[in-house]
Amino acid sequence: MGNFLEKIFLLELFKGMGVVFKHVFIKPVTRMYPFEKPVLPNSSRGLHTLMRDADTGNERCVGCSLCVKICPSGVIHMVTSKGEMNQKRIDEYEIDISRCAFCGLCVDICPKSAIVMSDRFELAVYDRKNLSYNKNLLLKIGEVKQKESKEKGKDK
Amino acid sequence: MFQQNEMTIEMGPQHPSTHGVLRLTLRIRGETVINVDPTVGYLHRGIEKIAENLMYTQFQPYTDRLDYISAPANNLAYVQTVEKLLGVDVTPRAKFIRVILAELARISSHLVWLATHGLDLGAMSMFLYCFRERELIMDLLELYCGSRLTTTCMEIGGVRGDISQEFIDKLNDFIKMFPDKIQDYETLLTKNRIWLKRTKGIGIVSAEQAINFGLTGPTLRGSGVKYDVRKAQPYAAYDQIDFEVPIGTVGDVYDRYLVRMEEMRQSTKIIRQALEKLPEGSVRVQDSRITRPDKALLATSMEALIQYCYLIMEGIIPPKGEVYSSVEGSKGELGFYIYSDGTSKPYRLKIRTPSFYNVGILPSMAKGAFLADMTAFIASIDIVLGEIDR
Repeated sequence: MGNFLEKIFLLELFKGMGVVFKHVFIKPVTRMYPFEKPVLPNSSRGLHTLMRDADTGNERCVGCSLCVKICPSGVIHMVTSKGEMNQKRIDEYEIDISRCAFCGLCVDICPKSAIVMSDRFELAVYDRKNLSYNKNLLLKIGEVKQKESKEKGKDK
Repeated sequence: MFQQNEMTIEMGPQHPSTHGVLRLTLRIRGETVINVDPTVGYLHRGIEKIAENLMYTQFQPYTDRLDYISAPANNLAYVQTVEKLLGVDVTPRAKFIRVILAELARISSHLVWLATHGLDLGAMSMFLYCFRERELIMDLLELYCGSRLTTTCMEIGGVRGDISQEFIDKLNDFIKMFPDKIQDYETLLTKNRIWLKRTKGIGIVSAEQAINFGLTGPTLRGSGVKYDVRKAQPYAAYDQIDFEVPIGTVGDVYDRYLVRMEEMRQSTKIIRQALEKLPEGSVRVQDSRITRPDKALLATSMEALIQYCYLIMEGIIPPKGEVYSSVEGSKGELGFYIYSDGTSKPYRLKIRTPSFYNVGILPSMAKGAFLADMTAFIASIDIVLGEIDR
C-alpha cells in the first residue's frame, strides 16, 4: 500500500527536489578565482625558486648537478666552471617550465635545500621563450618567497 | 553489405560522454545498435617504453598520468612492485598512510564517475555536488604532498612525507561529513524513477561473461563475482582493516551503480579505521640500497654524502628477476610487471590497466541495445583513457 502511494505521489522525486532545494540556504562554495586568489598550503608545488643563504646572502646552490640527474623530463640545464679559490661556480642554470612535470623530485633530493618550490601557479606567458627561467630570475623569485615567509613568521 | 536502414556513425574521439578520447564506430539500424567497434590509442604516450629509459625513482611521476583521477593508487602499485623486486617491507606507519591515500583516491575517482554518469543521463545537479566534495579531497592531497592531481605521493621504501596534524584534523572532518553526502546522492538517484528507467535492466553482463572478458573492479563485482585484490592478496595494511566487498546481483548498469556507491561508504570506513590504528614511527624504511641518508648528516659524514650522491647518480639497483604485483585501483586490478636485468633501469615494464580490459566488454554489452543507452554503458564501466592507451 505504501509502495503504491509512493508511486502515485512521486514521493522519491519530491525528496530529491528537497535535497536540491536545501542548497538554496547553503552558502555557495564557489571561489571567484581571478579576483579572489586561493591560499595554498606551504607544501604546494608551484614554480621553482633558488634560495639564498639567510645569513650570508650567498646562493645556496653548490652546483652538484643532482637535480639535473634526477629530473625525469630533463628540464634542468646547468653549466659549471672552476672559479676563484677552486670553488665551483654556476655559470648557467636554466629550468624549462614548459616541459616540467612539477613532480618535486629535484626539491626532494637537493642536499643544500637550494631549489624549493614556491606557490606561484599562474605561469601563462605570451611568448614560449619566457617559459625558460634562468638563474637570476629564479633567485629573484626566491627572494620574494623568503621575504613573504619571513612576514608570515614561518621560514621554510 | 549494408541492409536497409542500416548506417555507420562515429562516436568520438571528441565526444563529451566518451570520457576522453575513445572512438566508437557504431553500426545502427534505426535506434538499435547492431555492432560497436571501440578504437583506442588516441592518448598513447608510450609510457611503458619511457620506463625502459628511466631509473626506478624517475619513473614514478609517469605513473600519475595513467589513471589521472586516482593517482595515489597508481603510485602505490608501482612502488609496491619495485619493493617486491627488492624484497623490502615498508614500515607500519607508511603502510597505513598508503591505505589512507589510496582510499582517498578511490573516493575521488568514484565521485568523478558518479558526477559524469549523472551528467550523461541528465542529472545535472549530481555533477555539481560530486565535484564539490571532490574538491575537499583534492585540498587534502594538496596539503599532504603539494599537488592536487599528479601527486607522486609515494616513494620506493615508504611515502613522500609524514602526515601532519592539520591533515588528520581535516581528514577527520571529511569522513565525518561524507556519509551524509552519499545519503544525499542516493536520495537524488537510487529510487528516482527516471534514473531507474535509464539504468535498470540494460547492459547486463553475466558473471561468466565478466570473468571470461577479464573484467575487474566494480564492473566485475556488479555481476556478482566477489573478487577484490584487497581481500584476495592483501597489500599495504589492508589485512589489518575490516571492510566488506559489495557485490551486485543482476549485473546491469544499476547494479554497478549500487556497488560503487557502497564502495564509497566502505572507503570512508577504511579511512576511519586506518586513522584510529595509525601506528607511530618512521615512514621510510631504513635500507642502504634505497633510502637516502638524512640531509642533516651530509655536512658531517663523508660516508653519508657518498651514499646520498650514489643513490641519485646510479639509482636504485634491484637484483635480476621478474615480478608482478597488483593493487585494487578504483577501476579494478592495477598491476605492474617488471623484468629487471640487474641494472638501474627496468628491462621491460608492463602495466596491466583495468580500463583496457573493461572496455572490451562494451561491444557485447551494447549489441541490441538502444543508441541512447550507449552513454550509460560507457559511464557504467568507468574508463579512463589515460590508462587504456598508456
